[in-house]
Amino acid sequence: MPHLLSRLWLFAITLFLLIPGYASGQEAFLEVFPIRPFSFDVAFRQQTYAPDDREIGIQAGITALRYGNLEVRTIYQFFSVHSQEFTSDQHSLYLNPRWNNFIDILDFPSRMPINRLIRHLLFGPLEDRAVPYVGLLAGGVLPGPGNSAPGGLIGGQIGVRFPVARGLSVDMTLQYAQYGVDFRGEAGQAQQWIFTTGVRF
Amino acid sequence: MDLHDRGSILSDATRVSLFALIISLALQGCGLIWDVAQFIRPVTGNDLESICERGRLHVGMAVEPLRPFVFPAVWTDEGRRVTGLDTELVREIATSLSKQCRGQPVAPVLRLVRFRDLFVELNEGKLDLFVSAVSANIPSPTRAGLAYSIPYFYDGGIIGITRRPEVAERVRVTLSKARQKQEDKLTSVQAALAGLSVAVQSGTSADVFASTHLKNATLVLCDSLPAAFESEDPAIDVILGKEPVLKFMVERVRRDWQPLVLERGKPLLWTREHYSVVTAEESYRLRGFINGVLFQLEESGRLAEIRRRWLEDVYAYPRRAASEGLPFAAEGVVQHYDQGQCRWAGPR
Repeated sequence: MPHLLSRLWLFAITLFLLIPGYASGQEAFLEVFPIRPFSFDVAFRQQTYAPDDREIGIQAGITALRYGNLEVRTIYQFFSVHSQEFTSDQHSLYLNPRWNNFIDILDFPSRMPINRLIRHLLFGPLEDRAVPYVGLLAGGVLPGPGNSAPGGLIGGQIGVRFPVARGLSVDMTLQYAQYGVDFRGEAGQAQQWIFTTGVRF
Repeated sequence: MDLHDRGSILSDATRVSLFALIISLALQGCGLIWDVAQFIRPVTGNDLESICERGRLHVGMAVEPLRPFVFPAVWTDEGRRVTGLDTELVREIATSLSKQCRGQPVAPVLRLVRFRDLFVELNEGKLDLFVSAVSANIPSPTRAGLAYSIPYFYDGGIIGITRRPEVAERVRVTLSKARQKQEDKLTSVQAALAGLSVAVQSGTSADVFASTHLKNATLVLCDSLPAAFESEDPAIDVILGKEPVLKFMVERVRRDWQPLVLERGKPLLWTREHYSVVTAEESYRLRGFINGVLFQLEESGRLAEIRRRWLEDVYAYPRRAASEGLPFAAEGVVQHYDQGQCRWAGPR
Protein backbone atom coordinates (compact mmCIF):
# COMPACT_ATOMS: atom_id res chain seq x y z
CA MET A 1 0.00 0.00 0.00
CA PRO A 2 2.69 2.55 0.90
CA HIS A 3 4.40 1.60 -2.35
CA LEU A 4 1.25 2.42 -4.29
CA LEU A 5 0.75 5.67 -2.43
CA SER A 6 4.29 6.78 -3.16
CA ARG A 7 3.75 6.05 -6.85
CA LEU A 8 0.59 8.15 -6.84
CA TRP A 9 2.41 11.00 -5.15
CA LEU A 10 5.22 10.72 -7.67
CA PHE A 11 2.66 10.89 -10.48
CA ALA A 12 1.04 13.92 -8.86
CA ILE A 13 4.32 15.74 -8.41
CA THR A 14 5.41 15.00 -11.98
CA LEU A 15 2.08 16.21 -13.31
CA PHE A 16 2.18 19.48 -11.45
CA LEU A 17 5.79 20.11 -12.38
CA LEU A 18 4.90 19.73 -16.03
CA ILE A 19 1.68 21.73 -16.02
CA PRO A 20 2.94 25.20 -15.07
CA GLY A 21 5.54 25.25 -17.84
CA TYR A 22 2.92 24.36 -20.36
CA ALA A 23 0.25 26.65 -19.02
CA SER A 24 2.34 29.75 -18.40
CA GLY A 25 2.64 30.56 -22.09
CA GLN A 26 -1.08 30.83 -22.48
CA GLU A 27 -1.70 34.09 -20.64
CA ALA A 28 -5.01 32.55 -19.68
CA PHE A 29 -7.61 34.03 -17.37
CA LEU A 30 -9.02 32.59 -14.22
CA GLU A 31 -12.66 31.78 -14.78
CA VAL A 32 -15.09 31.01 -11.99
CA PHE A 33 -17.87 28.61 -13.01
CA PRO A 34 -16.76 28.52 -16.65
CA ILE A 35 -18.68 27.13 -19.58
CA ARG A 36 -20.45 23.78 -18.96
CA PRO A 37 -19.89 23.67 -15.20
CA PHE A 38 -22.30 20.82 -14.39
CA SER A 39 -21.66 17.16 -15.00
CA PHE A 40 -23.70 14.02 -14.43
CA ASP A 41 -22.21 10.60 -14.97
CA VAL A 42 -22.96 6.93 -14.64
CA ALA A 43 -20.05 5.18 -12.90
CA PHE A 44 -19.08 1.54 -13.29
CA ARG A 45 -16.61 0.44 -10.64
CA GLN A 46 -14.66 -2.55 -9.57
CA GLN A 47 -13.22 -2.45 -6.09
CA THR A 48 -11.33 -4.64 -3.67
CA TYR A 49 -13.13 -3.92 -0.41
CA ALA A 50 -16.42 -2.70 1.04
CA PRO A 51 -17.44 -4.97 -0.66
CA ASP A 52 -15.14 -6.72 -3.16
CA ASP A 53 -17.34 -6.58 -6.25
CA ARG A 54 -18.51 -4.57 -9.29
CA GLU A 55 -21.13 -1.88 -9.04
CA ILE A 56 -22.96 0.85 -10.87
CA GLY A 57 -23.26 4.25 -9.26
CA ILE A 58 -23.90 7.86 -10.09
CA GLN A 59 -21.88 10.97 -9.69
CA ALA A 60 -22.43 14.66 -10.09
CA GLY A 61 -19.82 17.33 -10.44
CA ILE A 62 -19.31 21.02 -10.78
CA THR A 63 -16.38 22.88 -12.27
CA ALA A 64 -15.53 25.79 -10.05
CA LEU A 65 -12.37 27.17 -11.62
CA ARG A 66 -10.65 27.13 -14.95
CA TYR A 67 -7.37 28.64 -15.97
CA GLY A 68 -6.40 27.96 -19.56
CA ASN A 69 -6.09 24.21 -19.87
CA LEU A 70 -6.28 23.69 -16.13
CA GLU A 71 -9.53 23.29 -14.28
CA VAL A 72 -10.62 22.23 -10.83
CA ARG A 73 -13.77 20.20 -10.42
CA THR A 74 -15.60 19.04 -7.34
CA ILE A 75 -17.23 15.63 -7.62
CA TYR A 76 -19.84 14.04 -5.42
CA GLN A 77 -20.11 10.28 -5.91
CA PHE A 78 -22.73 7.97 -4.47
CA PHE A 79 -22.72 4.19 -4.35
CA SER A 80 -25.38 2.22 -2.55
CA VAL A 81 -25.06 -1.54 -2.06
CA HIS A 82 -28.07 -3.54 -0.90
CA SER A 83 -28.01 -7.26 -0.11
CA GLN A 84 -29.64 -9.64 2.39
CA GLU A 85 -26.52 -9.56 4.54
CA PHE A 86 -25.84 -5.86 4.57
CA THR A 87 -26.63 -2.43 3.26
CA SER A 88 -23.84 -0.01 2.60
CA ASP A 89 -23.97 3.54 1.34
CA GLN A 90 -20.81 5.35 0.38
CA HIS A 91 -20.58 9.06 -0.23
CA SER A 92 -17.40 10.46 -1.75
CA LEU A 93 -16.57 14.09 -2.17
CA TYR A 94 -13.33 15.00 -3.83
CA LEU A 95 -11.47 17.68 -5.66
CA ASN A 96 -10.49 16.83 -9.21
CA PRO A 97 -7.87 19.10 -10.77
CA ARG A 98 -7.58 18.37 -14.48
CA TRP A 99 -5.12 19.19 -17.20
CA ASN A 100 -6.95 19.41 -20.49
CA ASN A 101 -5.28 18.77 -23.85
CA PHE A 102 -2.20 17.43 -22.08
CA ILE A 103 -1.24 15.54 -25.24
CA ASP A 104 -0.53 18.85 -26.95
CA ILE A 105 2.62 19.25 -24.90
CA LEU A 106 4.04 16.83 -27.50
CA ASP A 107 3.57 19.33 -30.33
CA PHE A 108 6.88 18.47 -32.00
CA PRO A 109 8.62 17.87 -34.35
CA SER A 110 7.01 20.35 -36.74
CA ARG A 111 7.05 17.95 -39.69
CA MET A 112 5.06 15.27 -37.91
CA PRO A 113 3.97 16.37 -34.42
CA ILE A 114 3.64 13.51 -31.95
CA ASN A 115 0.45 14.94 -30.50
CA ARG A 116 -1.22 14.84 -33.91
CA LEU A 117 -0.24 11.19 -34.34
CA ILE A 118 -1.59 10.26 -30.93
CA ARG A 119 -4.79 12.18 -31.50
CA HIS A 120 -5.29 10.51 -34.86
CA LEU A 121 -4.64 7.05 -33.41
CA LEU A 122 -6.94 7.59 -30.44
CA PHE A 123 -9.77 9.61 -31.87
CA GLY A 124 -9.71 9.09 -35.63
CA PRO A 125 -12.08 11.48 -37.39
CA LEU A 126 -12.71 13.28 -34.09
CA GLU A 127 -9.02 14.12 -33.56
CA ASP A 128 -9.68 17.87 -33.76
CA ARG A 129 -12.83 17.65 -31.68
CA ALA A 130 -11.60 15.86 -28.59
CA VAL A 131 -10.27 17.25 -25.32
CA PRO A 132 -8.16 14.55 -23.67
CA TYR A 133 -7.23 15.15 -20.06
CA VAL A 134 -5.49 13.73 -17.02
CA GLY A 135 -6.49 14.52 -13.49
CA LEU A 136 -5.93 13.87 -9.82
CA LEU A 137 -8.46 12.97 -7.16
CA ALA A 138 -8.18 13.98 -3.54
CA GLY A 139 -10.97 14.02 -1.01
CA GLY A 140 -12.86 11.96 1.51
CA VAL A 141 -15.29 9.07 1.82
CA LEU A 142 -18.08 8.54 4.32
CA PRO A 143 -18.18 6.37 6.34
CA GLY A 144 -14.45 6.58 7.02
CA PRO A 145 -12.40 4.02 9.00
CA GLY A 146 -13.75 3.80 12.54
CA ASN A 147 -16.81 5.67 11.40
CA SER A 148 -15.53 8.75 13.18
CA ALA A 149 -14.08 10.80 10.33
CA PRO A 150 -14.06 10.68 6.55
CA GLY A 151 -11.62 8.25 5.00
CA GLY A 152 -8.96 9.73 2.75
CA LEU A 153 -9.37 9.25 -1.00
CA ILE A 154 -6.60 9.70 -3.51
CA GLY A 155 -6.26 8.71 -7.12
CA GLY A 156 -5.76 9.67 -10.73
CA GLN A 157 -7.73 9.64 -13.92
CA ILE A 158 -7.41 9.83 -17.68
CA GLY A 159 -10.27 10.66 -19.99
CA VAL A 160 -11.60 12.50 -22.94
CA ARG A 161 -14.34 15.06 -23.49
CA PHE A 162 -16.08 15.53 -26.82
CA PRO A 163 -17.70 18.95 -27.12
CA VAL A 164 -20.95 18.43 -29.00
CA ALA A 165 -21.80 22.11 -29.00
CA ARG A 166 -20.99 25.13 -26.89
CA GLY A 167 -23.46 24.05 -24.23
CA LEU A 168 -22.95 20.29 -24.14
CA SER A 169 -20.15 17.74 -24.13
CA VAL A 170 -19.87 14.00 -23.67
CA ASP A 171 -17.28 12.84 -21.20
CA MET A 172 -15.56 9.46 -20.65
CA THR A 173 -13.10 8.76 -17.87
CA LEU A 174 -11.11 5.88 -16.47
CA GLN A 175 -9.97 6.52 -12.94
CA TYR A 176 -8.19 4.72 -10.16
CA ALA A 177 -8.57 5.58 -6.51
CA GLN A 178 -7.88 4.14 -3.13
CA TYR A 179 -9.63 5.18 0.01
CA GLY A 180 -10.18 4.35 3.64
CA VAL A 181 -13.66 3.13 4.49
CA ASP A 182 -15.64 1.57 7.28
CA PHE A 183 -17.51 -1.52 6.16
CA ARG A 184 -19.71 -3.56 8.50
CA GLY A 185 -17.89 -2.19 11.50
CA GLU A 186 -14.41 -2.88 10.17
CA ALA A 187 -11.96 -0.32 8.87
CA GLY A 188 -10.12 -1.03 5.65
CA GLN A 189 -8.53 0.32 2.52
CA ALA A 190 -10.25 -0.21 -0.81
CA GLN A 191 -8.84 0.17 -4.29
CA GLN A 192 -11.22 0.87 -7.10
CA TRP A 193 -11.19 1.24 -10.85
CA ILE A 194 -14.03 3.36 -12.18
CA PHE A 195 -15.21 4.01 -15.69
CA THR A 196 -17.57 6.97 -15.92
CA THR A 197 -19.50 8.34 -18.83
CA GLY A 198 -21.88 11.25 -18.86
CA VAL A 199 -22.54 14.75 -20.02
CA ARG A 200 -21.42 18.24 -19.05
CA PHE A 201 -23.56 21.27 -19.58
CA MET B 1 -26.10 -3.06 -6.67
CA ASP B 2 -23.89 -6.02 -7.41
CA LEU B 3 -23.78 -6.93 -11.06
CA HIS B 4 -23.28 -10.65 -10.39
CA ASP B 5 -26.23 -12.07 -8.52
CA ARG B 6 -27.46 -9.70 -5.88
CA GLY B 7 -30.08 -8.11 -8.12
CA SER B 8 -32.62 -10.75 -7.14
CA ILE B 9 -32.38 -9.95 -3.46
CA LEU B 10 -32.98 -6.24 -3.79
CA SER B 11 -36.34 -5.08 -2.54
CA ASP B 12 -38.92 -4.23 -5.22
CA ALA B 13 -38.94 -0.59 -4.23
CA THR B 14 -35.17 -0.37 -4.50
CA ARG B 15 -35.17 -2.07 -7.86
CA VAL B 16 -37.85 0.24 -9.21
CA SER B 17 -36.10 3.33 -7.97
CA LEU B 18 -32.75 2.16 -9.30
CA PHE B 19 -34.31 1.35 -12.66
CA ALA B 20 -35.90 4.79 -12.80
CA LEU B 21 -32.60 6.34 -11.87
CA ILE B 22 -30.65 4.52 -14.56
CA ILE B 23 -33.28 5.33 -17.17
CA SER B 24 -33.25 8.97 -16.20
CA LEU B 25 -29.46 9.01 -16.39
CA ALA B 26 -29.52 7.28 -19.74
CA LEU B 27 -31.81 10.00 -21.00
CA GLN B 28 -29.87 12.85 -19.49
CA GLY B 29 -29.62 15.78 -21.80
CA CYS B 30 -33.25 15.27 -22.71
CA GLY B 31 -36.58 16.20 -21.28
CA LEU B 32 -37.05 17.36 -17.75
CA ILE B 33 -33.43 17.16 -16.64
CA TRP B 34 -32.50 19.38 -19.52
CA ASP B 35 -35.31 21.78 -18.69
CA VAL B 36 -34.18 22.00 -15.07
CA ALA B 37 -30.61 22.63 -16.12
CA GLN B 38 -31.75 25.31 -18.55
CA PHE B 39 -33.76 26.91 -15.79
CA ILE B 40 -30.79 26.98 -13.39
CA ARG B 41 -28.15 27.96 -15.89
CA PRO B 42 -29.15 28.31 -19.54
CA VAL B 43 -26.53 26.55 -21.64
CA THR B 44 -27.21 28.84 -24.57
CA GLY B 45 -27.19 31.87 -22.30
CA ASN B 46 -26.57 35.45 -23.21
CA ASP B 47 -23.06 35.35 -24.63
CA LEU B 48 -23.06 39.15 -24.97
CA GLU B 49 -23.68 39.54 -21.24
CA SER B 50 -20.79 37.17 -20.53
CA ILE B 51 -18.45 39.33 -22.60
CA CYS B 52 -19.67 42.47 -20.85
CA GLU B 53 -19.16 40.88 -17.42
CA ARG B 54 -15.60 39.88 -18.10
CA GLY B 55 -14.75 43.04 -20.09
CA ARG B 56 -12.76 41.04 -22.60
CA LEU B 57 -13.49 39.78 -26.07
CA HIS B 58 -11.52 36.62 -26.75
CA VAL B 59 -10.57 36.71 -30.42
CA GLY B 60 -8.79 34.00 -32.36
CA MET B 61 -6.68 34.76 -35.40
CA ALA B 62 -4.87 32.44 -37.76
CA VAL B 63 -1.42 31.35 -36.71
CA GLU B 64 -0.30 31.72 -40.32
CA PRO B 65 -0.08 35.33 -41.55
CA LEU B 66 -2.55 36.19 -44.33
CA ARG B 67 -1.48 39.58 -45.65
CA PRO B 68 -3.15 42.06 -45.71
CA PHE B 69 -5.75 40.54 -43.36
CA VAL B 70 -3.24 39.37 -40.76
CA PHE B 71 0.38 40.50 -41.05
CA PRO B 72 3.29 38.74 -39.37
CA ALA B 73 3.57 39.79 -35.73
CA VAL B 74 5.95 42.60 -34.95
CA TRP B 75 7.88 43.34 -31.75
CA THR B 76 7.38 46.97 -30.77
CA ASP B 77 8.36 49.06 -27.75
CA GLU B 78 4.98 48.20 -26.29
CA GLY B 79 5.39 44.47 -26.87
CA ARG B 80 4.34 42.06 -29.58
CA ARG B 81 1.67 43.38 -31.93
CA VAL B 82 -0.29 41.99 -34.82
CA THR B 83 -2.02 44.15 -37.38
CA GLY B 84 -4.01 43.98 -40.58
CA LEU B 85 -7.49 44.45 -41.97
CA ASP B 86 -8.89 41.86 -39.59
CA THR B 87 -7.39 43.48 -36.50
CA GLU B 88 -8.97 46.80 -37.46
CA LEU B 89 -12.26 44.97 -37.81
CA VAL B 90 -11.78 43.45 -34.35
CA ARG B 91 -11.21 46.96 -32.97
CA GLU B 92 -14.49 48.12 -34.51
CA ILE B 93 -16.38 45.15 -33.04
CA ALA B 94 -14.81 45.71 -29.59
CA THR B 95 -15.68 49.42 -29.71
CA SER B 96 -19.28 48.61 -30.55
CA LEU B 97 -19.36 46.01 -27.79
CA SER B 98 -18.17 48.62 -25.30
CA LYS B 99 -21.18 50.77 -26.24
CA GLN B 100 -23.44 47.73 -25.99
CA CYS B 101 -22.06 47.04 -22.49
CA ARG B 102 -23.32 50.42 -21.27
CA GLY B 103 -19.95 52.08 -21.65
CA GLN B 104 -17.96 49.40 -19.87
CA PRO B 105 -14.80 48.98 -21.94
CA VAL B 106 -14.40 45.65 -23.69
CA ALA B 107 -10.79 44.90 -24.57
CA PRO B 108 -10.02 42.54 -27.43
CA VAL B 109 -7.65 39.77 -26.37
CA LEU B 110 -6.03 38.04 -29.35
CA ARG B 111 -4.84 34.48 -29.53
CA LEU B 112 -3.17 32.91 -32.53
CA VAL B 113 -4.74 29.52 -33.15
CA ARG B 114 -4.74 26.90 -35.85
CA PHE B 115 -7.93 26.56 -37.82
CA ARG B 116 -8.15 22.85 -37.03
CA ASP B 117 -8.41 23.69 -33.31
CA LEU B 118 -11.20 26.17 -33.88
CA PHE B 119 -14.15 23.91 -33.10
CA VAL B 120 -12.80 22.98 -29.67
CA GLU B 121 -11.61 26.53 -28.90
CA LEU B 122 -15.02 28.03 -29.68
CA ASN B 123 -17.07 25.29 -28.08
CA GLU B 124 -14.94 25.15 -24.93
CA GLY B 125 -15.59 28.86 -24.49
CA LYS B 126 -11.94 29.86 -24.91
CA LEU B 127 -12.72 32.02 -27.93
CA ASP B 128 -15.71 34.21 -28.62
CA LEU B 129 -14.97 34.62 -32.29
CA PHE B 130 -12.37 33.94 -34.95
CA VAL B 131 -11.49 36.23 -37.81
CA SER B 132 -8.82 35.62 -40.45
CA ALA B 133 -10.20 35.91 -43.97
CA VAL B 134 -12.32 32.79 -43.40
CA SER B 135 -14.50 31.84 -46.34
CA ALA B 136 -18.05 31.10 -45.27
CA ASN B 137 -19.92 28.06 -46.51
CA ILE B 138 -17.01 25.97 -47.71
CA PRO B 139 -18.30 22.41 -48.18
CA SER B 140 -15.93 20.56 -45.90
CA PRO B 141 -16.43 18.34 -42.83
CA THR B 142 -13.83 20.41 -40.97
CA ARG B 143 -16.29 23.31 -41.04
CA ALA B 144 -19.12 21.44 -39.30
CA GLY B 145 -20.35 23.06 -36.12
CA LEU B 146 -19.05 26.54 -36.97
CA ALA B 147 -21.26 29.51 -37.77
CA TYR B 148 -20.58 32.61 -39.82
CA SER B 149 -21.57 36.25 -39.70
CA ILE B 150 -22.63 38.22 -42.74
CA PRO B 151 -19.59 38.92 -44.96
CA TYR B 152 -17.22 41.79 -44.31
CA PHE B 153 -15.29 41.16 -47.51
CA TYR B 154 -17.20 40.31 -50.68
CA ASP B 155 -14.58 40.19 -53.40
CA GLY B 156 -12.66 37.12 -52.35
CA GLY B 157 -12.09 34.12 -54.53
CA ILE B 158 -9.49 31.58 -55.53
CA ILE B 159 -6.78 32.44 -58.03
CA GLY B 160 -3.48 30.90 -59.06
CA ILE B 161 -0.02 32.41 -59.33
CA THR B 162 3.18 31.14 -60.88
CA ARG B 163 6.83 32.10 -61.01
CA ARG B 164 7.37 30.54 -64.45
CA PRO B 165 6.26 32.64 -67.46
CA GLU B 166 5.90 29.51 -69.60
CA VAL B 167 3.33 28.10 -67.17
CA ALA B 168 1.38 31.37 -67.25
CA GLU B 169 1.49 31.31 -71.07
CA ARG B 170 0.45 27.64 -71.24
CA VAL B 171 -2.55 28.29 -69.01
CA ARG B 172 -3.53 31.41 -70.96
CA VAL B 173 -3.31 29.67 -74.36
CA THR B 174 -5.13 26.53 -73.17
CA LEU B 175 -7.96 28.56 -71.72
CA SER B 176 -8.13 30.77 -74.81
CA LYS B 177 -8.51 27.72 -77.07
CA ALA B 178 -11.07 26.21 -74.74
CA ARG B 179 -13.04 29.42 -74.82
CA GLN B 180 -13.08 29.42 -78.63
CA LYS B 181 -14.39 25.85 -78.53
CA GLN B 182 -16.93 26.97 -75.92
CA GLU B 183 -15.75 24.32 -73.43
CA ASP B 184 -16.74 24.37 -69.80
CA LYS B 185 -14.44 26.69 -67.81
CA LEU B 186 -13.73 24.22 -65.01
CA THR B 187 -12.88 21.47 -67.49
CA SER B 188 -10.55 23.77 -69.36
CA VAL B 189 -8.84 24.84 -66.12
CA GLN B 190 -8.31 21.17 -65.26
CA ALA B 191 -6.74 20.64 -68.68
CA ALA B 192 -4.56 23.73 -68.32
CA LEU B 193 -3.12 22.55 -65.00
CA ALA B 194 -2.80 18.87 -65.90
CA GLY B 195 0.58 17.51 -64.91
CA LEU B 196 1.65 20.64 -63.04
CA SER B 197 2.46 20.69 -59.33
CA VAL B 198 -0.14 22.85 -57.62
CA ALA B 199 0.50 24.01 -54.05
CA VAL B 200 -2.25 24.89 -51.60
CA GLN B 201 -2.20 25.74 -47.93
CA SER B 202 -3.45 22.71 -46.06
CA GLY B 203 -7.00 23.00 -44.73
CA THR B 204 -7.90 26.17 -46.63
CA SER B 205 -10.71 26.67 -49.12
CA ALA B 206 -8.10 26.38 -51.91
CA ASP B 207 -7.21 22.93 -50.54
CA VAL B 208 -10.87 21.91 -50.63
CA PHE B 209 -11.25 23.33 -54.16
CA ALA B 210 -8.11 21.66 -55.52
CA SER B 211 -8.89 18.32 -53.89
CA THR B 212 -12.35 18.36 -55.44
CA HIS B 213 -11.66 19.71 -58.91
CA LEU B 214 -8.01 19.36 -59.91
CA LYS B 215 -7.70 15.61 -60.34
CA ASN B 216 -5.12 15.82 -63.13
CA ALA B 217 -2.70 18.09 -61.28
CA THR B 218 -0.17 16.97 -58.70
CA LEU B 219 -1.28 18.48 -55.42
CA VAL B 220 1.27 19.76 -52.90
CA LEU B 221 0.12 20.54 -49.37
CA CYS B 222 1.93 23.35 -47.58
CA ASP B 223 1.72 24.37 -43.94
CA SER B 224 1.65 28.04 -44.89
CA LEU B 225 1.77 30.36 -47.86
CA PRO B 226 5.41 31.38 -47.23
CA ALA B 227 6.31 27.68 -47.26
CA ALA B 228 4.75 27.39 -50.73
CA PHE B 229 6.78 30.36 -51.98
CA GLU B 230 10.02 28.92 -50.65
CA SER B 231 9.50 25.26 -51.49
CA GLU B 232 12.14 23.70 -53.77
CA ASP B 233 11.50 20.05 -53.03
CA PRO B 234 8.80 19.55 -54.10
CA ALA B 235 9.10 22.25 -56.73
CA ILE B 236 5.95 24.31 -57.17
CA ASP B 237 4.53 25.31 -60.55
CA VAL B 238 1.37 27.04 -59.36
CA ILE B 239 0.12 28.26 -55.98
CA LEU B 240 -3.63 28.36 -55.48
CA GLY B 241 -5.04 30.58 -52.77
CA LYS B 242 -7.19 33.47 -51.70
CA GLU B 243 -7.36 36.13 -54.36
CA PRO B 244 -6.78 39.24 -52.20
CA VAL B 245 -3.91 37.57 -50.34
CA LEU B 246 -2.08 36.29 -53.44
CA LYS B 247 -2.72 39.55 -55.29
CA PHE B 248 -1.22 41.50 -52.39
CA MET B 249 1.78 39.17 -52.29
CA VAL B 250 2.64 39.34 -56.01
CA GLU B 251 2.14 43.11 -56.14
CA ARG B 252 4.10 44.05 -53.03
CA VAL B 253 6.16 41.20 -51.63
CA ARG B 254 6.93 38.50 -54.20
CA ARG B 255 7.14 40.36 -57.48
CA ASP B 256 8.89 37.43 -59.15
CA TRP B 257 5.52 35.67 -59.18
CA GLN B 258 2.60 36.57 -61.45
CA PRO B 259 -1.08 35.75 -61.45
CA LEU B 260 -2.53 33.35 -64.01
CA VAL B 261 -4.64 35.41 -66.38
CA LEU B 262 -7.00 35.07 -69.32
CA GLU B 263 -6.80 37.12 -72.50
CA ARG B 264 -6.21 40.84 -72.08
CA GLY B 265 -4.86 40.29 -68.56
CA LYS B 266 -8.21 39.43 -67.01
CA PRO B 267 -7.55 37.53 -63.76
CA LEU B 268 -8.38 33.83 -63.80
CA LEU B 269 -10.83 33.53 -60.90
CA TRP B 270 -12.00 30.00 -60.13
CA THR B 271 -14.61 30.58 -57.49
CA ARG B 272 -16.06 33.46 -55.54
CA GLU B 273 -15.73 33.70 -51.76
CA HIS B 274 -17.01 35.97 -49.03
CA TYR B 275 -15.07 36.35 -45.79
CA SER B 276 -16.94 36.29 -42.51
CA VAL B 277 -16.42 36.27 -38.77
CA VAL B 278 -16.64 32.76 -37.27
CA THR B 279 -18.43 31.99 -34.00
CA ALA B 280 -19.67 28.89 -32.24
CA GLU B 281 -22.98 27.72 -33.62
CA GLU B 282 -24.81 28.52 -30.38
CA SER B 283 -23.44 32.07 -30.05
CA TYR B 284 -26.67 33.44 -31.45
CA ARG B 285 -26.68 36.83 -29.75
CA LEU B 286 -23.03 37.53 -30.42
CA ARG B 287 -23.42 36.60 -34.07
CA GLY B 288 -26.50 38.77 -34.37
CA PHE B 289 -24.61 41.63 -32.79
CA ILE B 290 -21.65 41.19 -35.16
CA ASN B 291 -24.04 41.11 -38.11
CA GLY B 292 -25.44 44.43 -36.94
CA VAL B 293 -22.00 45.97 -36.54
CA LEU B 294 -20.87 44.80 -39.99
CA PHE B 295 -24.04 46.08 -41.58
CA GLN B 296 -23.60 49.49 -39.95
CA LEU B 297 -19.95 49.62 -41.02
CA GLU B 298 -20.92 48.75 -44.57
CA GLU B 299 -23.76 51.24 -44.70
CA SER B 300 -21.64 54.06 -43.30
CA GLY B 301 -18.84 53.42 -45.77
CA ARG B 302 -16.41 52.63 -42.96
CA LEU B 303 -15.94 49.03 -44.10
CA ALA B 304 -15.09 50.19 -47.62
CA GLU B 305 -12.60 52.62 -46.10
CA ILE B 306 -10.99 49.82 -44.06
CA ARG B 307 -10.71 47.64 -47.16
CA ARG B 308 -9.21 50.48 -49.19
CA ARG B 309 -6.79 51.33 -46.40
CA TRP B 310 -5.34 47.82 -46.26
CA LEU B 311 -5.66 46.64 -49.86
CA GLU B 312 -4.94 49.77 -51.89
CA ASP B 313 -2.96 52.25 -49.79
CA VAL B 314 0.81 52.13 -49.71
CA TYR B 315 2.06 51.60 -46.17
CA ALA B 316 4.65 49.89 -44.01
CA TYR B 317 2.84 47.37 -41.87
CA PRO B 318 5.39 47.44 -38.99
CA ARG B 319 4.57 51.12 -38.50
CA ARG B 320 0.89 50.38 -38.40
CA ALA B 321 1.55 47.50 -36.02
CA ALA B 322 3.35 49.89 -33.67
CA SER B 323 0.66 52.56 -33.83
CA GLU B 324 -2.54 50.54 -34.00
CA GLY B 325 -1.66 46.85 -33.70
CA LEU B 326 -3.24 44.62 -31.10
CA PRO B 327 -1.28 42.62 -28.52
CA PHE B 328 -1.67 38.89 -28.53
CA ALA B 329 -0.99 35.99 -26.18
CA ALA B 330 2.41 34.30 -26.30
CA GLU B 331 0.82 30.99 -27.12
CA GLY B 332 1.14 30.38 -30.83
CA VAL B 333 4.15 32.64 -31.36
CA VAL B 334 6.39 29.72 -32.29
CA GLN B 335 3.92 28.42 -34.85
CA HIS B 336 3.41 31.97 -36.13
CA TYR B 337 7.05 32.28 -37.14
CA ASP B 338 7.43 28.67 -38.24
CA GLN B 339 6.35 28.66 -41.88
CA GLY B 340 6.44 24.86 -42.01
CA GLN B 341 7.00 22.78 -45.09
CA CYS B 342 5.40 21.43 -48.24
CA ARG B 343 4.78 17.79 -49.08
CA TRP B 344 3.13 15.81 -51.83
CA ALA B 345 -0.51 15.10 -51.10
CA GLY B 346 -1.49 11.47 -51.02
CA PRO B 347 -4.01 9.85 -53.35
CA ARG B 348 -7.31 11.73 -53.46
